[in-house]
Amino acid sequence: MLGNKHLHIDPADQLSDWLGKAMRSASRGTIAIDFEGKPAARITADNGSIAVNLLEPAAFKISEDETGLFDKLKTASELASRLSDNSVTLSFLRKDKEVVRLGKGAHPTLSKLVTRSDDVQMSSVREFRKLKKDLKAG
Amino acid sequence: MYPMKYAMTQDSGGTTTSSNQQNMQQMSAQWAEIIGQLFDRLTGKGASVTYTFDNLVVDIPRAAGPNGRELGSAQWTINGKVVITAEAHKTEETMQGTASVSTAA
Repeated sequence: MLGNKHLHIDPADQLSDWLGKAMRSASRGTIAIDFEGKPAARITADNGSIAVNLLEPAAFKISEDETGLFDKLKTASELASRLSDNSVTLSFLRKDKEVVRLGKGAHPTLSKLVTRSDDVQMSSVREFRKLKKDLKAG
Repeated sequence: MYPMKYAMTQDSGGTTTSSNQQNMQQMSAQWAEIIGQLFDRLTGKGASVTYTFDNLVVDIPRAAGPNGRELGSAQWTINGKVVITAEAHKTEETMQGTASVSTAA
């Protein structure tokens, strides 16, 4: 539901709940994604921790929409809360460097001032800016 | 990593059938849009995407079967490759796209 600034995840929403549980069920292992023969991403699961490493972030460009970065962070914090409920930690990396961590294993410091959530950790503002630039559709 | 514009809400029981149908139609349209964007992207770049599973262990939880019979849980280990390629074929009147999937263990 896109309303009042950001995309909300309803507390009773089963889809996000299922997502959290499904991610929990992949206990360990790796999925490598190659795009046109080049490594684009690597997803690693390790007992409740899922790391999504975007090795070629430009391959995942997203189109502009009506929500801004701050709004997206608010949505992320709602998803992160669901992940925490399912004891899942989801982290995004850009070229092996951690950008943001959501869910149970997140330990926010300054980023809590922005997201007002205990479940979103901004690991590197510098890498976050780079990733934002990479993902911006040209 | 495509724009997720679907409505992540559920009704608590007080909504009418017509609004549910409207939501379903809206959701279908949004999913169609996402799939369309994905297809355009793949065909636009003539791309192939390879998913390589390396000892991915998935825990399948215990479930209840017919007549409440309890089904055992399972653990799947997935290894191998799935390659998805897409290409566009131009016919006389319309543009048709095809996608193919191949797997390798």
